Amino acid sequence: MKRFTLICIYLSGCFIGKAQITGDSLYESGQYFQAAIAYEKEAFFAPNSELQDQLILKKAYAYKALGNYSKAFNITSRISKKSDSLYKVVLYERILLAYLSDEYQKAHNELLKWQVRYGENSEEILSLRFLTLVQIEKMEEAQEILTKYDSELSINQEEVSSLLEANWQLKNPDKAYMLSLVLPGVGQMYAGHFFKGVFSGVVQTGLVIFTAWNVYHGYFFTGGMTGATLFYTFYLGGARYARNLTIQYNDRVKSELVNEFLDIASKK
Amino acid sequence: MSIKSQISFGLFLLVSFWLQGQKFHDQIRFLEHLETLGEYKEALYYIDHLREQINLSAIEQDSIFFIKGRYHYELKEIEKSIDAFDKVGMRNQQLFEVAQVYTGFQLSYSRRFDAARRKFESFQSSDSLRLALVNYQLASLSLLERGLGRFSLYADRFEDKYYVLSDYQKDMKGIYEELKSHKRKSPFVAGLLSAIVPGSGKLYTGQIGPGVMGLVSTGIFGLQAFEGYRKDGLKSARFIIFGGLFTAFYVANIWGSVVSVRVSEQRYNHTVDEAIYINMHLPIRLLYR
Repeated sequence: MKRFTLICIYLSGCFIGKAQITGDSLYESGQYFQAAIAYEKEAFFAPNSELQDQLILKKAYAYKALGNYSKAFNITSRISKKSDSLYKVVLYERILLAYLSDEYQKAHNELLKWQVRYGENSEEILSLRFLTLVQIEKMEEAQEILTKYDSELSINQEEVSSLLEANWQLKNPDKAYMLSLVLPGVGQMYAGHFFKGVFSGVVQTGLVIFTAWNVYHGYFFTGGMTGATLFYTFYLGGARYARNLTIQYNDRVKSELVNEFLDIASKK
Repeated sequence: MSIKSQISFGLFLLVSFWLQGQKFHDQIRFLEHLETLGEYKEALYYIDHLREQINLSAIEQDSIFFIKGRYHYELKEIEKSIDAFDKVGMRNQQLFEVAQVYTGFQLSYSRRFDAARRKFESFQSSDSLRLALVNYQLASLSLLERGLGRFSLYADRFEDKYYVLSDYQKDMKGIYEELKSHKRKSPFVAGLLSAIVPGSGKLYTGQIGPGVMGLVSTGIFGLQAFEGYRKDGLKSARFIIFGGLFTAFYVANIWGSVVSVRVSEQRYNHTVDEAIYINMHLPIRLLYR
């Protein structure tokens, strides 16, 4: 019986002391979803809030590794940020995660929090600040970072001037809309699409002629209804199209700048 | 066997059961924590992992299947939820009964009315509130099936003494009155109206926007065809083009009005069904979440 008891205790020991699968081991083996759950569990049973915060941050890393940036951002909101060192790490992650989930205004808000606490020229966030400023179209501030902090960004003068020489000129979508309202087709030309502008102008002039011809010859209904209705539709549609083209143009300018900056940064 | 070894074996059993129970209790606490966070996917994954890792007693298995059913329900994964609830045994009578209610509602929601009715009709309980809830669900199910007579039978058994149910019972009676007074629109009348005045058939079925659009578009081509006829005669290209367009729009509008009766009826039924589902679901959620 004694032997039987001992065997039972040994087996139970095997069961209870089974090698603990931790969030870290799962994370390292690339099982990020499982790691996230393990971190959550470890945090739930953590003896103090400091450890809990660290584990929740690790959970956010797991979701970041899964590419679910907005969820990772939300998870970081649960961290109570008691210690200053952890606060800094979390704030950095929040800026990065907001940027990665294409929420540039949110990233900028987090950046402002950083600047208030750690100063404007803090090196860690200069790259992210540059990228965010470009995305929210604050071009002058972005250029200022390049010229003022080139050594902190570890880029040389040549690279700075190459970046500054790139196309920084954004266009105003509302101006494109207004231009097309004043003179159909000009808005598209302003957005950089000359032939689309010409085509739009020709179609709308054609419709005006069609309307005028019909009215002149006494076909008031045809002129007023088919001609004027079609003209009105093309007129407003053309202006909206000009605005969209300008937005697309601006997106292209921003993404070229971002890519060029990232190319330079990745060489370091 | 000596007394000493008997005592130590007894102690071992006690400690291992306690440890096992404690472990299970902790797991449930953690699952509740995930639920509070709304992390149902994580919780479901964890449950499956748990079932592989720990030998659960039959009663613990029931709890786990019940929780699983609820989490799938929250994620609107009806089939998986029904499957999990079906596995809840009768060892814990309360869990079993609540699982039946959830299953019945989800069968109703997925429009398997016969199966839902069988589930509710076979429901047995000693708890009068749960019986009243099932009676209410059966009444609602009758409305989903548009069995107005059957609804009255169940509604006669409605009691006002349950605070969580009384408002919903009143609402369900309101839906019943609405269905009773609802008159189906006639496709013939809609078509005839649109033949006399284009678009008016759609106005008759309550579609104001499409009705006005029908009148305007037909009118635009009609007037231009008339203009072509007046100025250039019957054989002119202008009259033929606009006359053709007018005819196409005129005929399409009549046909559209006939079809719109069916569309508006479907829309009406959909709206009513949604109201019934919400009123079926809310008391379950209030009582058992």
